[in-house]
Order: sequence, then structure tokens, then C-alpha cells
Amino acid sequence: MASRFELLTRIEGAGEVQLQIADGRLAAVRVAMLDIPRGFDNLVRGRHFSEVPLLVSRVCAICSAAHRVVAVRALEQALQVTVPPAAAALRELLLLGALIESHVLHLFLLVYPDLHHCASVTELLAIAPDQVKAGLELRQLGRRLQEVAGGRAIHPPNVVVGGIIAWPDQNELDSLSASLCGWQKQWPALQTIFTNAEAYPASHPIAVCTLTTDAAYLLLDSTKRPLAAYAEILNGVDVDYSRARQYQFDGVPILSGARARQATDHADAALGVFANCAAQAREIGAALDAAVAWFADEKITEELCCPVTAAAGRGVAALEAPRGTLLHAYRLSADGTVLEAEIITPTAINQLAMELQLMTDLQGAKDDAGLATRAAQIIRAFDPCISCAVHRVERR
Amino acid sequence: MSGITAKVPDPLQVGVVKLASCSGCQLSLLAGGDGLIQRLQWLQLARCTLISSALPQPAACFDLVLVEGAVESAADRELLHSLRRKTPFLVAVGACALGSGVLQGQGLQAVADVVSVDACIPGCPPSTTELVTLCGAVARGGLPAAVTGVVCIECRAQEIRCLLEAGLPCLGPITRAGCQAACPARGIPCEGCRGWAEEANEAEMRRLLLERGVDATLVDRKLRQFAEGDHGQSV
Repeated sequence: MASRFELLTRIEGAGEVQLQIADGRLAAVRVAMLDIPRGFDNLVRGRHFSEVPLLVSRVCAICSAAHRVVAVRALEQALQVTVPPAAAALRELLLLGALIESHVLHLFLLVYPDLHHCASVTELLAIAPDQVKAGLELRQLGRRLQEVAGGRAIHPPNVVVGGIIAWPDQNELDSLSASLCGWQKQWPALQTIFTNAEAYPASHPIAVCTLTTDAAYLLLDSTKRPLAAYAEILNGVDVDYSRARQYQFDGVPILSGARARQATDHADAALGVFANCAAQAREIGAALDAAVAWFADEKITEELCCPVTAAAGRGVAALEAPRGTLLHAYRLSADGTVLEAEIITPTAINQLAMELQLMTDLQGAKDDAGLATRAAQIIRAFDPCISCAVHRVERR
Repeated sequence: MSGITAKVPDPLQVGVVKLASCSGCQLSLLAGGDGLIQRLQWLQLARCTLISSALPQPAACFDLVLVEGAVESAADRELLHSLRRKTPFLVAVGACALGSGVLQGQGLQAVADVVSVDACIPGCPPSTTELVTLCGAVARGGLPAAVTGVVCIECRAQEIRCLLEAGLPCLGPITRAGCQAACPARGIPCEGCRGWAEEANEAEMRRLLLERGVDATLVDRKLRQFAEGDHGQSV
């Protein structure tokens, strides 16, 4: 059996797919996440809890808002702090902006070129200039939402343990509100690029457990499991070929992300893995609706942050990041020092589902010039984030 | 018709290398709606696996290589050496590549410790404007003028309310300028992500932080989180 490695492109981070060929046909696959490990679980150890948000937002630039918010929620739980309503509300707006940016980036810059056999958005500009321009403008709106709510589009410094530092300027909020109303009307026409089944090659459903969270519980195939019991559901395994820890439940691959979130809502099952793209497109619409509704509510902004005192404790928080369930867990000493930290990311969780999807769709496929392209397109549809996935392994 | 025609220059061939990093520096370069579309006309991302499947041959040359992230392995060093030999402009971009930032103490190297660099762009991440200015200068055959001064000065020039005066622990007085005081402009204290300016007065900054309630055990880590070389924590 011959095997070869194909570099993954139009994907965040460094990764490869290993194609094992027997008798001229695909016999087995492996997905290898190959970013340089940065050991975030280790580097926050020994730091004070107040230093953690700045550090962990750097796990990943696209997912920085989600990491920062879930980290402060876990720490606030450990420290038994309830944040003021204004802080909770502004963090929600930040997460909506992050979802819009992340999904639009994935769909328009990474997936869309495949639909017209282009290498990049630069080539695609010659074929679909208006659609690309609209996509990039909408991504800017996602970035603006994060800038205004988080203080910056990447690594938003406004989110701290106990609340937020500053409430945004009213003129900036008003301008965002106006843009959002416009996009709410414009999006349904653009969405069809990614919800149209004919846009994608054939792909099939896979036998997996779906994982989502409602912030209070983890939901494994819709069954509620306590957050604190995450290790019983997410059975981690380190393998030699990927630098990201893989996860499974009782030997079954786990699927997280937009496709898992909308598994029961839409009849996209026939799209196979590309149901993830269709689901993301719908979620952009839902996020625009939610952001418009956010502005309709009067906010009380007198109190933004509550005092936080160091105390020993444990905290676990999970949220639906754009790419799927993201979980942070911390244990603190009495002086507020991080004793242990664990970060579990959607891409790490999805690794085995990616391999299963590749085998389901491509096992026995002829080893021709298009095989690597088709494999990459399947992996890309999961919207992997390899910086996130490879944050963990101990550095040598 | 005049005999003089303006020659449209060939697009700048840019290679983007990601080492140990979060992709934030490339994302900063790739920000923008119509602005990004315009940028992609004169700036060709000849190698940028984040958004392009185009993979040039190993022997291919670039006009400009942007290196994001810290250096881990012999393979990283070999890649940097081979790019350096054939690249007129090789620039270290962002805190991790400059040897500061969140990866300090992880046994990684700064890009400038491995190869000579033509410029260092600080920030975690650097701003879009700074990266576009760099690419524009290289497209005209040069490098942008060095930014001098501290964030504090940029803040005052915009008449932003002083956060230190409001009692907040802002690192503006010691932090390299160039971000237009983006965070203080939104009422958020500078976290110092651009590293120390040459004129940084450490003792005075420490005093200001302690006076504003920063815990004595945390003050040095706060001062040095994004500081480089002699100022930073041991790499």
C-alpha cells in the first residue's frame, strides 16, 4: 500500500491529509494537524486568573472572541462571580460579530473558490465580483461588531474577569445598527450560494454523535450531560500522526459545529458534509436577526464590571463557538493562581469525524488527479481551525 | 495620443509564512471589504495557504516574505534561511515573530535570531494600515519610515480622555506608537502589545501601575508581557 501526504490549503493553520492507496484506489486516510504546538494549557499554569483572558484569546485569531468569553465565564464560575447585565449583553454582541466574521470568512474566502474551481478569492473575483464584494463587506461588519463590542477585531481586550471595561460609543452603536438592518434584508439572496445542493459534489451522512452546548449542559445527541462531566463524554486520545488530541465518545466519532447545531432543524442531510456550509449560511442570517434584536433592547449600562476576589475553586464553561463546542476548564488556588487548565476545541473534537467522512465519501475512489482536491474540499467543509486544535500537546 | 504611457507595475509577489502563531497577523493583512479587493490587485499572495491553494515551486522567488510566528524547529530555520537567500525583503510580523508576546518562555526563537530581517512590524496583531503601508513601500522598492514615540503621544494628539488620569492601568507611556491608540480610543487601557518604545521609563511606569492598584506580584509580568530581548522574560 502506497501512501502520500497532501498539504491542506484554504484552511486556518498547517495540516495534511494522508491518502493510502491500494490497487490504485483509496484504501485509508488520516488527517494530520501540524501546527507548531504552543501549549496554552501549560502556559497559563502559574499565572494569575486576571492574566488568562489576554493569553488564551491568542490561541486563535479567528476564534479569539469565543476563547476570551468562554475563559472568563469559566473563571467567573470558579470565583463565584455574576457579571452585570450590561457586560453579559455586550459579550453576546461580540460573539454575534465573531460568528458572522468566522462563517463569512469560511464560506466566501475558503469554500466559494471551490464552487468555481478557483485557487483563491483573487481568481474568483473575475467570475463573481459582486458576490465576493458583498461577502467581504459583510465580513467587515463582523469585524466592526467585534471592534466596537470587544475593543478590537482580534484579541478583544474589553472582556475581563468580572465583566467588561468600557461601554461602546453610542454613535458607533447606531452606525452598526443601521448596517445590520440593511444586511438583514440583503442576506437571504446571498445565502442561496451556499444552501443550493447543486453547488456541491455528492457527500453522505456519517454515523457520529453530535455535540452541542446550551452553556448550562453539554448535549450529546440531544441528551443533557453536566459540563463538569466533560471528560466522560470527550474521551481524549493522543496519536502519533496528528499534533492535536483526538476525541471520541465510547469509540464513536463526535461531530460539532453548525451541521451538528442544525442536525434536527433542516433537511440538509443529503448534502453530507456540505450541510455544514448550508447550516453556516443559515446561521449568518440568524445572527443578523439576533444582532438587530439586540439593538432593539434598552441596555442599563451603569455597572460594567463587578469586583472579583481571589478564591480557590474550579470552573468549567462551554459555548457554541462558530466552529463548534468550545470548552475551557480551570482550577485556581486560594490566591487566584491557575493550577490546572484544559482547553478543548471544536476542530480537535471533529478530527475523527473528518476521517470517517473522507472514507464514507471517497473509499475505493480511483487515485486520479482530482482525489486530493476532493479530499481537501471535504475537510475544508468542516471549517477546521488548526491553531485552535494544536494548542495543547506538551512542548518538548 | 501622447507617446507617454504609464506602465502598470506587476503585482507585488508576497509570500506569507506562518510559524508558531494564531494567524492574526495575516488576518490583519486580509481585513477589509472593497479595500481588500483593491489591495489584491497590486499585492499578489503568491503563497498564503490560509486563503489560497496556489502552491509555488520550492525554487519560486517572492518580492516580499512576511513571517508570522515564533521559530520552533530545525525545519523552520532551514525554511527561513532558504527564503532569506532569495528574498529582497523579509519582514518579521507581529509579537510572536519579534520574540515577545504570549509565547515567551516556551523555548521558541524570534525570527531575527535566525535570519537577518529587513523590518520588524510590532503588534499583537499589527494593524491593517501598518501591514498595507509596508507592502506599499516595498512595492515602490523601499521600506516605510520607522515609527517613533509612544502610544501616549498618539492618544493625546487625538484628545482622548487619559485613562491613567481616570485611574486605569494603561501602558501607553512605554508602548511603541503606530496603532493610533486604538484601544485607549475606546476607553480600554493599552495592554502594551507593541512592545517597549526606546524611551520607555520602566521605573515611572511601574510606579504608575502600582499607584493604580496593580498587584505588586503581577506588575513585572504586565510590564513585560510584550517586551522584547533584554526587556522581556527569558525566551
